[in-house]
Amino acid sequence: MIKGIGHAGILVSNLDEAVELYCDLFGLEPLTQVTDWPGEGMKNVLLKVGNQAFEVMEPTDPQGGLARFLERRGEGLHHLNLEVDDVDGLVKSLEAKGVVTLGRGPGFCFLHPKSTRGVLFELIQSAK
Amino acid sequence: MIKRIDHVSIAVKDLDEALGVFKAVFGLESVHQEEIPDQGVKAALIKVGDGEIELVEPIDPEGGVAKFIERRGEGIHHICLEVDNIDEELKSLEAKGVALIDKQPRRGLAGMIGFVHPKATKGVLVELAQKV
Repeated sequence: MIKGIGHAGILVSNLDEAVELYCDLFGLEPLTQVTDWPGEGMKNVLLKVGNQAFEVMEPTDPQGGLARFLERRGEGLHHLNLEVDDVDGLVKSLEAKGVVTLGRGPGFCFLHPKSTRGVLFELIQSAK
Repeated sequence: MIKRIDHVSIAVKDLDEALGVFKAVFGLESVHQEEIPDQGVKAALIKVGDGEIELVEPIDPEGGVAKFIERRGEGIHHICLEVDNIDEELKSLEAKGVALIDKQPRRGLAGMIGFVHPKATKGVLVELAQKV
């Protein structure tokens, strides 16, 4: 079952600058410090938006998918994260329906945008 | 003050077909549909927990959503943040020199709304909405 919108992922070319801007414009506060994710080819900061968040990301691997996305489409909204109560169960049922999955790990899974009208969804096991 | 993510809006070419996809994939169904001529779209709201996913299909080929799809294809179009006071938010953004699409709040699907220009927000089209 889908429980709600967890966060919106935003891809930018300069993380510090974007974080400062969003905090200034919208009065948001960081939930995390700058965190490097070498496996994902990016660094990120989560900003608190009520009970949800913005995930602001900057590519760190110039050959990675995020860097290519940034080059192709420019800065902006990148993915939508949904909290679900049972990622593995949901993914199994989605795969049975022919939905293509990407970048799967413990407690999370990305769905290929070609299955979902161009939207990159990230499903994440809800902690709530 | 920003309260929460109210909805995320997805631009699609065919609303009925997209609703079918979201129902088949996620078991999510639309709770409301409406034409919004001044935004050049017809829209459907899908409840997701206490937030919503909005699907918008262009009905005006010259409108912003039609141009978005032409340029970038279907996908996430904007994010709407719920605020407690839309007048105050727009005024404070304007005072900071932020480019606004709407300097005055207007009626939208999510309440009294105003759009911030994506050039001011690193490419993110942000809608602010106060519930009415």
